[in-house]
Amino acid sequence: MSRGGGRGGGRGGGRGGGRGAGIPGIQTFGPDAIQATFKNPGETYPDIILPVARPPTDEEGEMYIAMKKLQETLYSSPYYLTEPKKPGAITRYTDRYHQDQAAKRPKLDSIKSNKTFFPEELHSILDPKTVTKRRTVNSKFDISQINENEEDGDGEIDPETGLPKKTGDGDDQLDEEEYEDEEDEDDNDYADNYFDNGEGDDDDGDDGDGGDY
Amino acid sequence: MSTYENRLCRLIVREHFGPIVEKVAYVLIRKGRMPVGLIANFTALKPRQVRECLFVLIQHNLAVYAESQEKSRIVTYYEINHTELLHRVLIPKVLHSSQEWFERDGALIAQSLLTHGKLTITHCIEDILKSSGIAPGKTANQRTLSLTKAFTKMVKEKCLIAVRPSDSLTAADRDMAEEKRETDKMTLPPTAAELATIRKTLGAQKQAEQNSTIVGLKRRLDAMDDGYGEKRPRLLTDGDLVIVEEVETDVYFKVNFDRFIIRWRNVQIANLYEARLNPTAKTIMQTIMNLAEERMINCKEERSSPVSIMLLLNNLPKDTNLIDTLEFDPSDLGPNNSKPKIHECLDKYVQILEDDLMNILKKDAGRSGQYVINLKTASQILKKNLIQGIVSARFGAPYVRIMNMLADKGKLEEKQISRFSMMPVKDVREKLTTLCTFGVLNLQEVPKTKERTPSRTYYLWEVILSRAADTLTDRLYHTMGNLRQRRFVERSKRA
Repeated sequence: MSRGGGRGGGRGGGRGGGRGAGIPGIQTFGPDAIQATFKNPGETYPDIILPVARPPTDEEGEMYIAMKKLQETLYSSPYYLTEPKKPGAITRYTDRYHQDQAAKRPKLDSIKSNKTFFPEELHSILDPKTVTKRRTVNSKFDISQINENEEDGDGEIDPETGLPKKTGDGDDQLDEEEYEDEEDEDDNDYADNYFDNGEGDDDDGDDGDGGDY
Repeated sequence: MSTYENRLCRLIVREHFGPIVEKVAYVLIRKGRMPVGLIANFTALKPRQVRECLFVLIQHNLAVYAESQEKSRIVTYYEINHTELLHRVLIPKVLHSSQEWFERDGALIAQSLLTHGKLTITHCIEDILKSSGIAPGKTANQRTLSLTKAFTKMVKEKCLIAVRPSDSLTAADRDMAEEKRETDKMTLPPTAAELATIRKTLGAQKQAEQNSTIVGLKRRLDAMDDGYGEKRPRLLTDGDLVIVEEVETDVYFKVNFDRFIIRWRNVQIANLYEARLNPTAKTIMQTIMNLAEERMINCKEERSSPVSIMLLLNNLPKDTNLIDTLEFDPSDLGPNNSKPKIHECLDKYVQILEDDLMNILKKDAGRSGQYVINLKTASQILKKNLIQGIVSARFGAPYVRIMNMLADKGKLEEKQISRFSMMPVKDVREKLTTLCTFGVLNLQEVPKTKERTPSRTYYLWEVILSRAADTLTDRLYHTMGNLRQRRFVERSKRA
């Protein structure tokens, strides 16, 4: 592809006649190939003849300078995230000279960007004063309306994201309280976890002390 | 996503944004889309840090999000945009090209945009003035004007493209939301046929939108103004007013890598003709591509938009020498045997280009005098040349001979290959296996009997261009990852 053209296009290093220095000294193919196996993996760093790369062209030199400058800018920008160094127990002499870049970088909230690009949970990073509320979707399930119109329960659909729009949280709580009242009406503290209806009776009993739970 | 591609993506993020963003990005690259809580789990980072990393990634157009409803909560999922991430490898070339095409101002604008991800024109200019200072001979005003001019030019040529908030949502989610909007208008759920027609119309709308006017550019009438409008041709005059195109000040722009890639590819296609014909042919092809370039959106298109000969004639660079580089049959020239006119020369050149066996330039079927470039064949030829170059540099001439023969003649057996390439079968066998492990060749087994005994099957070798290109791309990713990793290790040893 033309994208890889700058790198691979027929200018590989070490071109030398027929089978030049492009092939390193170890034969990995052909009849006398050395195949690595579990027992004989071969040397970790076998001697190879490294091909010598051609010197960079002027264009490549310029590209390198431009990229280096960009990388330095990125390194000192707020986008490069690192953990700030914790001050150690002892202050050392070299602390003065090993400056902590993390402290010198500007903060993320000083970036000029627009909140609309980001989802709500990230708004507090751009503008620390935003308070993000936990978004819940209220699906009103009113029993009296169940016969009238089944579609009413979901509310409006937000055209951008295809999700129901948020509505108030008030009705949900009322419904929950009603359910809780019903449970308490049994008036029995251990209703759920005491009566086991014969399920715990099938222990073998032959294993000795297995009956004390 | 292959292992090497994932590793390269991770190392790119580490190079540009640091180790913490690298951890978050790696989890997203390997495991797909997930919400903040899950990312924090996998990376053992605090949620606040994860959110900052995601913020940085979205700011640089590398990540997108999607909100979905689960039971009663709305959960935001984040996903990495792999293509944008791999485009970051091209940044040095982008910086160099923006200097070449838009001069120093363009280079500064590109650098500022690449540092911040996306910026409005005012913020961009502020940033440049702050970081590069003002040359002693000029005032801040002049600098701002020249930067604004360069920025507008880049937007018009689509090297910078506008970013809208909807671009931060995943493409699939956007499509689904639009479909839902359409289907909600209907009372009954859609049948398969109706759904297909809806999808087609939405697809056509998207196509039209991409081809239409550039987002972020507005036109207004302005009094003819020296600093800004003096070199522009008068587009429409209403007394003293002239239509001036300006970039809107509250639209965010980012670098459009696709446009740079398209231009580089066009240059490569034109270069094909330089070796084959002559430099004038190359200039003509280059002009055709420049005229057709406006409508190209990305590299995957099959053919360019049509270009008429008249347009071509008007846009040829002034120093192309058409007349001297062609030889005309004396009988064609007419009774006076005078020098041929320019448009005759151009006609002849276009005829030669069209008749060339590469089949890249073709007549447009419907209209006369219009020509179309077949980008698909052109890119196939470029890929083939590149693969040949790689094989020749790495292995040598005999290997290339075998590869070329297989590419031309289709599937061949060992015996036939050794006969055609005039090499002993033992040699040929070794070379074939080498090329196969390298990834360029494919083996096809054709059994003669019901049991596939190796002695009774035909083994046919062939070159499948797309597979070869994919394998070599993977190798490239491997190498690039190795280089970056080595650089990190060596740098940390010396830090």
